[in-house]
Amino acid sequence: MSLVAGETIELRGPNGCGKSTLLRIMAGLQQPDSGDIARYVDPIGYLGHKFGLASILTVQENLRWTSTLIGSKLDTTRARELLETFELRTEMSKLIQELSAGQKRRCSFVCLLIGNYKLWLLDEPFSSLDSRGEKLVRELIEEHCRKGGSAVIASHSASPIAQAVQVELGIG
Amino acid sequence: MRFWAFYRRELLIEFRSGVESFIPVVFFLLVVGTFAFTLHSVFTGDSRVLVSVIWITTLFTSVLSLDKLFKRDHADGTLAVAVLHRDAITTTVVTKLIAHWSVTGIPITILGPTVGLLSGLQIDHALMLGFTLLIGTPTITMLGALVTALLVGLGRGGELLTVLILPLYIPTLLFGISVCHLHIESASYTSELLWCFALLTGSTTAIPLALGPVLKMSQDS
Repeated sequence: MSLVAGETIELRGPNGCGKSTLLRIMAGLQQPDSGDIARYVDPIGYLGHKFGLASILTVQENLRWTSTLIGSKLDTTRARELLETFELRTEMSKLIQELSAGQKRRCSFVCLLIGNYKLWLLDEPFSSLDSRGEKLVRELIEEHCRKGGSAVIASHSASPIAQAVQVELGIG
Repeated sequence: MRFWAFYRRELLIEFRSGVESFIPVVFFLLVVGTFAFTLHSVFTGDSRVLVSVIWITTLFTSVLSLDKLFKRDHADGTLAVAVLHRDAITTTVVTKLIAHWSVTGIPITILGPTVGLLSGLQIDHALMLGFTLLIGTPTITMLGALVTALLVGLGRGGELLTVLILPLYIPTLLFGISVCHLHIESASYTSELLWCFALLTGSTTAIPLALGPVLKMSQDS
């Protein structure tokens, strides 16, 4: 399996077939039992089952941390625009632990965008999101790939991502 | 810039955790205070017992505080995000350790000699105790962090931590106590003090570099 710039792969399959494990291996968080993996981009934007947000920091402080991780200063204008897009503008000074699961997921996506990662590895990106949030994330993934980014998504969603290569995984 | 931004974040987390961050220091005060009240006559007769009690309590306080060092970050997924940024992970870990030492190591370095003075320790002996704690507590934090990083992926790290960490602390404990004892006895303590510095230098240079790969490995468990 290979992934080039501008391409999206959608991993599908029943629970326990290894979608999340494959994503973690791709991210470098787990070692494969056999086989090899070569990554030509670094760092990778990874969104797992956990939100990847410090619960006792505010939304803004988490965004600032993401910027610092990639070695830049937080562009507050861009951060405000993204928070506006994700309907989190008024939650900017709230602690993550005060947000709903859907809002935390949205905030994770804002961090992903702040990070300017070329490759996104998204594990169940639509979980906890309402229909508006799901639509927004779909458009975001499509736009990311139009701009030359790549994404691998593990999903259970009924409707596939437009233009995505579907890979069906099985158990055994 | 990155260092201060990370350090500020870690301190914010420590202070927002409230009581949880300061429980180890309260534990230290309670244990040392209990010994000071109950064994007051022993302490005034032989101040070597007092410095030993303070040093041993410092080790147990460290075990208590280190258990949560990476636990919260592992639970909320920020540790996984951090290890994916290879050029930032060492700075992230170093600032985390310095912040941890700031809220536990520094208070113990100040409170240890203070309790010692209140329990009858001479001022020059108290100062030497403070000095050995100042160079000993960072070593303890570094060694403890290495074991904590190895265990962070396991659900039951707490029990294992105590068993694995205490043997590693023995050299620091022995040399730290020896310096204080020899100082009280007005004997030469240069070689013991140099060992304390060697342990400090070795742990603060090697362990931060090892922690990034160890934390990444622990994500696999």
